[in-house]
Amino acid sequence: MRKVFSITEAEWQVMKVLWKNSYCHASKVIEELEKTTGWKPTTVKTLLSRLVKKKVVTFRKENNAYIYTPTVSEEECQEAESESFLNRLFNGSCNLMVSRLIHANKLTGEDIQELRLLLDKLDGREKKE
Amino acid sequence: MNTEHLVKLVIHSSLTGSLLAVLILVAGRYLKSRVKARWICLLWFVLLFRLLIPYIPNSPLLLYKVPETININSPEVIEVPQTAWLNPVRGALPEGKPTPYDIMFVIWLSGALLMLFYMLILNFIFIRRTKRGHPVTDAHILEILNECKREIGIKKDIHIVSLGTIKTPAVLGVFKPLLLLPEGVPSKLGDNDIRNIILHELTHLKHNDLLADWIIGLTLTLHWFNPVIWHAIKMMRSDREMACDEYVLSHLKDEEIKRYGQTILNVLDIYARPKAVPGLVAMVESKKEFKRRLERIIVYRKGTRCPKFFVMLLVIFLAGFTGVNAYEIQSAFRSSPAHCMPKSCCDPRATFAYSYTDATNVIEGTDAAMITDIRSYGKLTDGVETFIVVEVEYSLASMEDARLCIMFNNSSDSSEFIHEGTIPVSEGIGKYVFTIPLTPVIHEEGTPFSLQCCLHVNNRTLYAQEKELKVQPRSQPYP
Repeated sequence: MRKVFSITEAEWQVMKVLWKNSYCHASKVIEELEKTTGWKPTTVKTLLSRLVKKKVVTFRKENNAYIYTPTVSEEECQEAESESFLNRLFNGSCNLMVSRLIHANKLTGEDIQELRLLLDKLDGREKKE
Repeated sequence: MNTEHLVKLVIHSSLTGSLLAVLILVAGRYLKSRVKARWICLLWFVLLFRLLIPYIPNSPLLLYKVPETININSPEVIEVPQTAWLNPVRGALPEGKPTPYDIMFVIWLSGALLMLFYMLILNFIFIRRTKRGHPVTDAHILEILNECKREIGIKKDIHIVSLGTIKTPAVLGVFKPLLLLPEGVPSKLGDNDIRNIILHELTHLKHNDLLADWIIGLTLTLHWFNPVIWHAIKMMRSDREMACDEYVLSHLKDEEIKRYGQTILNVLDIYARPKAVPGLVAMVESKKEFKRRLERIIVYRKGTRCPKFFVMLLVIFLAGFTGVNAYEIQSAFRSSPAHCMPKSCCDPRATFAYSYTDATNVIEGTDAAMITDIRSYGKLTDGVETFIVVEVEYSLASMEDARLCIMFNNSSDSSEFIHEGTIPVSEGIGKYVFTIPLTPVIHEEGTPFSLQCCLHVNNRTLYAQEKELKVQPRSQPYP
């Protein structure tokens, strides 16, 4: 059973730092994020606590300091994100503003096999001519 | 300009656009096998142009509603006070009740604004999402990118970003382009595939497809209610995709051509895994589209013969058909409902065939005249002077004592005479526009004001048309 959660843009930035260094002091996270975003320490702490509430991040106490670690891998998050309703909505409608290699992604494995065979057949037919 | 005009403008341009779209679809189907896809895209461009620029004004007449007379013969004119031509004449707009056009306008505007916000917001959020990605710094891929840029001839700086939330390579951004790759492309796809992908996306950039997408978006905002246009846009995008494929193929060697098709399938295979409950219609649609695309890839031959001349001719024809229909467009602005397309002068309804003998011969002929349009400028309001314009086309067999006479009666009380004007005609066939100043007067509120227009040609009443015109009551109390 997969967890259902949604992570905001800001939270995602925090997660990226956590995925890079799996066990992180709060101060390390703050330091990293200050470089890229310029957020204040209070902001980062708020985000971390939100993530903990969402159970995407857990923490342990170690000598008076809190160490944070993500509970889901980046891959899992990406996967969940791409399956989410919102993302499907974007991908469908953002067709207009984003040029893509392929537009549809609702083909089954059999469809793809069929297309491969078609490609071979067409190529074979062409070669004969 | 009021809401009625705007609504008519939108509807008119949408209808003409639909017609044009159908023509292009039919032409496209015929041409597709013989002609490069990029020429078909040129046809679509004509459609977009037509949809976005609906009115090519002859002059700023519209704002002032000064009548425009089309005077082929320049016969003697019915006297109109000179100043009246210059002063804008507007009927007083009634207050209070919204007209159906007002309602339609509001509906259209809401729809348009919704579409606009929807697209802008989605785009904005999508761009923000790209920040979740990781920039690709793999030297090998960057090398491929540079090679491809050189081949296609792009000098702009392009950044590659690897994104976990997309399923297909994409390109984004008109000014600072970004190439988006699904996560894992370098490891899951071979060099050849990567090269094909990059070539395809760079071609989109080169063809300014992203800018075109914005224009398409704008068009859809204006014509959101028209399903024909939606379908045409879908076809347009698929044609653009094929044009993109074609361009890439022109840069590939023969043996690489089939592998291009395989690249597409490989990307599909790895990334576009089926959804839990795929929409059935979408499945069929996309499979069809892929088949078409693959067929076209295989059938591609370098240096396909392309009858440019024929297509250019078609483009010119279509552009002409859509651009200059000033007459039709003007009709869209008439506030009184009467409107007939000009028919041939020899409409049997309004002809008078005669024969008589003079001393030695039997003389026969046919006089014909027809009122092709009666309209007023602005709304008719009780007590407010305005103009009635009557267009007449005539064809006279006998020039003996040839005159066109027009008479207006208030037909609810047919004795009330309003106006009569006579012009001598000097040529047998022609068109004349009468512009008659008129102050409609309602005696009792609710009485319709009807105009009976009689056309006399050579002393014979040829045509009598009765037209009921709506007159707004005065907003000020009657004196």
